[in-house]
Formats: sequence, structure tokens, C-alpha cells
Amino acid sequence: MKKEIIDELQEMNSFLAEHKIEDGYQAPANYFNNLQLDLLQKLDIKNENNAQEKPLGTFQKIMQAILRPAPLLTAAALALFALGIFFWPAYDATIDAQLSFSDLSEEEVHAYIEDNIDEFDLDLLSIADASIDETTLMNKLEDDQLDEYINNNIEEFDEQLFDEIF
Amino acid sequence: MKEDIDDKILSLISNKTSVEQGFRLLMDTYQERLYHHIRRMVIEHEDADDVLQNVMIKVFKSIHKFEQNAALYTWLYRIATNETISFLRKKNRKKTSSIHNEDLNLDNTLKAEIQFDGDEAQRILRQALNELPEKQKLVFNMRYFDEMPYKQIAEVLNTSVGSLKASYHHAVKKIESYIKQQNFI
Repeated sequence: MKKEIIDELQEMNSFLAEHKIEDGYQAPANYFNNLQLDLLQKLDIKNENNAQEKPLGTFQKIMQAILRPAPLLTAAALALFALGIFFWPAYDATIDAQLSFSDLSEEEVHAYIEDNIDEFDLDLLSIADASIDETTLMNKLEDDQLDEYINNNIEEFDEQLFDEIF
Repeated sequence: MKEDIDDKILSLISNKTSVEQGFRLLMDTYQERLYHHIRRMVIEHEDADDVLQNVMIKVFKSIHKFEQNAALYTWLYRIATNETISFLRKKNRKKTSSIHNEDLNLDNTLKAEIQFDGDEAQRILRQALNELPEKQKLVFNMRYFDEMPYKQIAEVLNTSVGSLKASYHHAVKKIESYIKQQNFI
């Protein structure tokens, strides 16, 4: 015990100056070594250069492989995306042009039919719902073409209908 | 000398590549003293172990905020003292309904925990010490067992040196009084 503490007790006339109280508490054997190890582990205290990554589980490895950025795949995906953006409006316009038959003017339809009348039959005209001038049609058809058509299809006409036509 | 070790501890802990060595050095230097400081107050080893672990966790988590206005040793003692007082108050709240039994238990605990080597005088002295109020016991322990200067105790307990001297004096007189009651002197 320090002299100054003993002197102080003597000044107080305390018997503690003569009878020292022993610090009788003792820790179990190896307590301090174990405490240090426990705390270092509990607090995860490591030097940065000693830090080791924890081994990954199978599921984590698979997920990591799937999610790992692959430069080539990423570049390819980006290129496809860019092409998609570039071509999409043109493709869309083509489809619109093909499907916008009703946008054509009536004169344009007539002109097209008259130029290509040989390639049409009546069924196709009815499907197209194109109104066509009967005289124009008759003028375009030769007599022998009419005869041939009638001869080939006469059985399908009844007499009354034949009279109505001619 | 102590300041040199403290500087080394702080320097090692502040560097990420040597934090482990820093913490090991801190524990090697102070864990036993802190353990005994706590143990003298809580008596049982298991309680001292719990408190000391909490102290070390708090120290590690807040050491980066430590401002070197006081010595590291003083700062550690302050944390340990606050943690011990907090533990004792929580424990006392739980046991207020069985004070009488608690006194008996403490007496038995003292017999079991302290290694007296058959010295009855030491057991009575220890009992006398445990009869002291919380603050007087703290002051007595730090002055008598840890031999700390009053100035340092004042920093730990955030009080004046004059008040500490008075507390120490009262503590010594109360211990003597208890011993006389036991017909020991």
C-alpha cells in the first residue's frame, strides 16, 4: 500500500492503518484469456488485412454466378436494346401502311382496279367492296371471255337469272 | 509510463490494420483492474463478468469518440463505474421485495466468494465494507484498493476532491464502527 494512504489512515487514527483489508476476490483460472478471446470474437475485431471472407453456401454461389455482371452479355443486351429503339418506329410505320387501306382515296382504288382488272375475279371485288362501274367492267371484258365464262359456269345459273342478266 | 501505453493503445486502435492489437493491449493493460473494481461492488463473479463485458463492448464502440481531455484509464474507470452502478440499481429494483433474504444471501455469498484462507478478520472487514452506502464504497475502493489520487477519483465520479475526502473519511469511520459492533476490536 502506498505510504500516502497509510499516512492518511494514521491521521484518522484508524486501525485500518495496521490491519489491511485484503482484496480477496479472485477470478476463475484463465478467465481473462477467455474473456479477451470471447470479446474479440463477439465484437468481430480483426485487423483489416487479416479479415477473411466467410465461405459461401451453395445457394449463395449459384445466386452470385447468376447475378455476377458479365461484360459481354451486358454489351450484347445493350446493343439489342439500342437496335430495338432504332428500328421500332420504322417497323411500326410499315405495319400502319399495310393496314391503312381505308386511307387510300377512292380515285386511287379505282385507278388501281382498272389497271389490274384482268387479275381480279368478281369474288375478290365483292370482298374488297370496291364499287366499280359496270360499263367500265363490261368494256374491259372481251366477248369471247364472257362466252367462255358462261359456258364454264352455265350449270350454276338458273334460267330466270340468265334472263335477268341478258 | 501509463500515458505512453495509452497513446500506443489509441494509436493502434485508430489504425484499421492494427485495431486487434490495440484492443488486445487495452485489455491486457486494464481488464484485471476493471474486473476487480467491478467485482468489489457486485460481489459475485458472474455479475462482474456480465458488467465487464458490457463495459468492454461500450469501450470498443465509443473509443473513437474518446477525447484525450482525461487519461484513458480515467475514462475506462468512469464507464466501468457507471455500468456497475446501473447494474446494481437494476438488481436492487428486482429484489426490493425480499430485502431480508437478500442480506442473508449476501452474507453467504461473501463467505463463498472471498478466499479468506480461514481468516475471520478479513470476512468481517469485508462485511463492514459492504455495509457502506454505494458512493462511499466506491470512493473507499478506489482510494484504498486501487490507490488512486483524489484528483483522478474526482474525474471518474465527476465530483470535487473535498467531497471525496469527506466520503472516504466517513467510510473509514463506518467500517471501524461496524468492526467494534462485532467485538472484533
